[in-house]
Amino acid sequence: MEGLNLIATALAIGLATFGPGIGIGIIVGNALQAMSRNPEMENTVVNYMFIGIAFTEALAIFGLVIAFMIGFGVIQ
Amino acid sequence: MSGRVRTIVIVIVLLAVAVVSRFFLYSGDPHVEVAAEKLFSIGGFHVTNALFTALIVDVILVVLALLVTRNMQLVPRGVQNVVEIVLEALYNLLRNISPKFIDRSWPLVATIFLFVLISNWLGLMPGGSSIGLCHASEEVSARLAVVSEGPQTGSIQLLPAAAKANPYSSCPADTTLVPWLRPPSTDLNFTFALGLLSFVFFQYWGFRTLGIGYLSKFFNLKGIMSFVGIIEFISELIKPIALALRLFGNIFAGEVLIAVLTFMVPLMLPIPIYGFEVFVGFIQALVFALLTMAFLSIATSPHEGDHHGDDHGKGAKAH
Repeated sequence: MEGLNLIATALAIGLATFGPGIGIGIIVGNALQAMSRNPEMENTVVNYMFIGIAFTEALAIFGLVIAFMIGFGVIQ
Repeated sequence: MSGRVRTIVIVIVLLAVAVVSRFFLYSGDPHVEVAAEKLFSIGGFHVTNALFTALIVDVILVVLALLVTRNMQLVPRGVQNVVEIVLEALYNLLRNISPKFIDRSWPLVATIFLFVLISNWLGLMPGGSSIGLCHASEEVSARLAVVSEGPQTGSIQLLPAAAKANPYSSCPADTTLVPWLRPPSTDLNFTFALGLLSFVFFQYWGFRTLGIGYLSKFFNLKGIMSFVGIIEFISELIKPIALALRLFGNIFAGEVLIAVLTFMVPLMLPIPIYGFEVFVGFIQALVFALLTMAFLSIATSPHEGDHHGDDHGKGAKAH
């Protein structure tokens, strides 16, 4: 059981970072493009970039919380 | 010696120090506990270390506010100047999102920002999660689990955790270190309370501005929009949970990362991570405030099936 718990912990966080990693890359890449094309909009773009990152990152964080719960034995 | 060679030599020396420190220095007690631990109880009411730290944050904020406003001047100097710079920058940032509601939501949103910021940084303070008293292990790490044997098989109860031997603990056997300070953001109770507060706040303003028509965003009979409305309704219910888990996950992960890294490589390696966690603590406080404001702006905008992005666009243009 201990070994399965370890595998489950690693899989939960490992798989959960796939999508958000790609997503944050797209968000920041496009935000940089927008800023370089239109530098006076920088403040606004950075705001929405962070909101977008927060939404995307939340998915990875869900996986992280599940990994913690399995890893530290809150759920079994 | 040219600059480049010198840089390489310095990096190699630092790495060597880090590797060697692994064999001579031991960090005591890599303290990782998902739930906040009980410090003492007042008449049956358990005071956890997260609650204790939240009270300290309150005291810091109140003292700071009194200090700054005691002798206010038109041309600010010293502490007043610093606080004004921070609050002004935050005000301008939030006004971009919803210029119409900034004055109504400012007290709540700014309080959330300051409280979460100070509570995040309090956990990074040296000694923050390492100074405490030794408590009996059963008392500390009891947790909810499914009973696997006996007459009550299958029920969920509070069980003592299995004892794990920790060779580096500074506490005697059968006891666990319970730190006095623990950032409230690493306690799910606190982050859920904050998430619910923010949820109730923007729902209230949604109803207040749009009246009963606010519900037609979620429940209507306009062809395909009726399905979209139900999906919107579910995502509305997930908002406070997402807010809570985002804050909890980020800050708790930072605490665990620093504890584990310090345990593995005591010198050098934790330093850049520590700097990163200071940044994360700030960004998460800002994101909580920004998202509360963004959700408020979404909830109060009268639209039928527009994209959320359009509301942001309108808000920014109006500004």
